[in-house]
Amino acid sequence: MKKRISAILLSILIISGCNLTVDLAGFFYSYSEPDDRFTQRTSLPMHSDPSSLQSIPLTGGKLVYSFAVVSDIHVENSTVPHLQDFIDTMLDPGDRFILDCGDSTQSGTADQFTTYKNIMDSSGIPWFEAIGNHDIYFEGWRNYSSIVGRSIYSFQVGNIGESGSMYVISLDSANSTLGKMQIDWLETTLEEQSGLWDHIVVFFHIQLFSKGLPTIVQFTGTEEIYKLLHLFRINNVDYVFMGHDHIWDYRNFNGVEYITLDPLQKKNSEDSYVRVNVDGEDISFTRVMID
Amino acid sequence: MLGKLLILFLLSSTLLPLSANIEKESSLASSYRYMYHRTLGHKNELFFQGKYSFSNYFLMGTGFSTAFNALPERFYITAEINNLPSLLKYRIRFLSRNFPDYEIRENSIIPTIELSTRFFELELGLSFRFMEALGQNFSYHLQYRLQWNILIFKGYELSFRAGNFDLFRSDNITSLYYTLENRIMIGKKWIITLDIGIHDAGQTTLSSFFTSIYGEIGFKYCL
Repeated sequence: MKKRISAILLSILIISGCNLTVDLAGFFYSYSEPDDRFTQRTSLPMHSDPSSLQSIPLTGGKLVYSFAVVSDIHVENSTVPHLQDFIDTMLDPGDRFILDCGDSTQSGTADQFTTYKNIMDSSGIPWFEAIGNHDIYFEGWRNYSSIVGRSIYSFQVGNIGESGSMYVISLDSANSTLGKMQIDWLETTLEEQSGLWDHIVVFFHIQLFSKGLPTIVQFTGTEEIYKLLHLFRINNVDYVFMGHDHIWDYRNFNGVEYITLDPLQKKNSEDSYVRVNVDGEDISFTRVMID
Repeated sequence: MLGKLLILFLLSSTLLPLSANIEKESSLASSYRYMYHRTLGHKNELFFQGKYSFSNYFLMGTGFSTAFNALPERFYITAEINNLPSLLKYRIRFLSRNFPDYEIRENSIIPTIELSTRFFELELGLSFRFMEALGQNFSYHLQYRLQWNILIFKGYELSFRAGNFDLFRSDNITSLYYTLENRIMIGKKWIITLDIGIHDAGQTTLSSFFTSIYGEIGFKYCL
């Protein structure tokens, strides 16, 4: 009887987040709220110094560069071969920075964040992470904020007026809702920045679209999703990168390209990352499969 | 001992008359809902519904709502076949939702099957969702609802419902609404409805963060 009850509970708990591994307490409770994390953001550091991205030299009068996008690394131990392998062998010389769509750690522990940060720092280029639901499990936010930094931010690549300039926004979707403060900030920021930059990229963790019945779309409610789709459309966002689902998905909706990335963790699905190439006003992406 | 009590409970809930006896099959209803969503803010919404039972086996219903941005903003038509056998109901619903602020319209077709006993109702189905703006997006989702009829007295019913959809809503798989429903009979024809509920963030099945709270008051007239 006890085994049956345990099996039933385990089955229910497996319908969780983006990974089949269950973190019991994090499944039931997250003490950290998006409005609190928004309030704290200005007192927390950026994950990397983005200032070097404003001085990329022009090539033929335009900015030509690339950057890599990964997601769902789920660091568990002190050695992370898949992430180290990515840093050591898969970055191009032209990659100026790395975006990570979240769930960098499995359980939000200090050791996991420290390991993650050390490996990402070893890349030698700026990197930026969008906080995921696993990152706020247990004491996750306290560790994240002290080791990684703020969870809501933006930065620029190039300068206004330069061909190929880009504005990048990272959103905190770890609770599957943005919170009033963050969505108001997003609305204002997009309104201010739209039209100033050649490209706008937004990245966050929880994906907006469902690919089918096995897909667990966990952004809270359809209405918040529709509000975001509307904001991205009217402000001419180029790309929206997301993770969480561990299933690749691409769709172009209302002129905005939405990409849900594979994980970078070599477990139950195909693994890949994305490389975005910017050549002045032209922008494109490539999905790079990992053997 | 616990096992025997559970079996007795299940048998009694199966053999006793069906739940929701306070509500007749044909009715007209209207209600007002206030919702506070931590991201989207306040929302006031009016609902109008009607359903008519053509026979013991066939029922149709329709309804619409407005949140004072457009009329209607949500609209549904539903058809139901029941008593084949008595515990089962088969429904198909067309639901249209208009989001004028976001210039998005969503149309869904939702077939479901409901197992209905005196104390429990379980409804399972799929929604085929077409989202339209300047472009289109199609997706399909698992929809489910579990209802526990906690108290059933003459003239009063209290139930608890957890699900990711209802007549006016079709949400994502783990975006659950938990509602406590009161039905109070006034005379022979009128029912006062009082509901309160919370909505989770959709991160997990059982939620780790509640995003909205709502209350709804209304009336129903039994035809």
